[in-house]
Amino acid sequence: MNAAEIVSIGAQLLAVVARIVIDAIEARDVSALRRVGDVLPAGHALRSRLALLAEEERARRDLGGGT
Amino acid sequence: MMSRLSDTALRWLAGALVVLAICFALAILATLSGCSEHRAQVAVQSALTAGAEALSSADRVVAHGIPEAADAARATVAAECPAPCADWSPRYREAMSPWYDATRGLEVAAEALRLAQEGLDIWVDTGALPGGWSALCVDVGEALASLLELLGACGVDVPEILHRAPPIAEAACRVAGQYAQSAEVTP
Repeated sequence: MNAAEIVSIGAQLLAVVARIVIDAIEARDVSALRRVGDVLPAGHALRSRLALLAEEERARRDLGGGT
Repeated sequence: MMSRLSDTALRWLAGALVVLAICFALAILATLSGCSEHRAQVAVQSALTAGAEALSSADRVVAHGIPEAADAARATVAAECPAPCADWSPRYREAMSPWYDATRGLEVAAEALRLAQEGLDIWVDTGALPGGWSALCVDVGEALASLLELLGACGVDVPEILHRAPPIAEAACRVAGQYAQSAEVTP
């Protein structure tokens, strides 16, 4: 193996490493953003749903006579 | 001898520079082609998160308005059918129907956003959008637009961020469609 081949392989390795580093940086950028799950609660735990359930229970007690 | 060594070294150096230049050109090309897709993914994530924040804001507004509306609904039902009222439930639900509809609209929009988030995750992980991505994107925009109408029926002050959410979602869908690979994978 002569020096030119060594340099060539070295350059290719450098390019591969650069690509990996860039990919890692890009992946970190996307993952650094807030996701839907970070903002919204899971399932039916929205505030409005909980408020509706609470008021419905009050209505059952007040209007239904506690039945 | 020194001159011959120098000539050889110069040739190696020149060759190495040429090889390095070619490799860097290829690396830059690959980077640029990847960047556009990466930017699209960031744009879609930003849009989905903005939609979720709009939804969260709307959820707070609706939750804040429900107690007062429920007081009025109970008073109406009690006037028509004094306690104990046998069919209080359908009467009460009828009086509160705009709020039930708005809450259901919030849940539908939240589910659409979660499904779109799953699609984006697949895109980021695999480089290809999942099957049905276009429909998912349309669902997000439609759910947010429908929610706007439902909130209007409740008479609440719709958060400004929610007004902007549907067009942002539609723009993100277009961006994703432009940059996503044509091959789609099944989630």
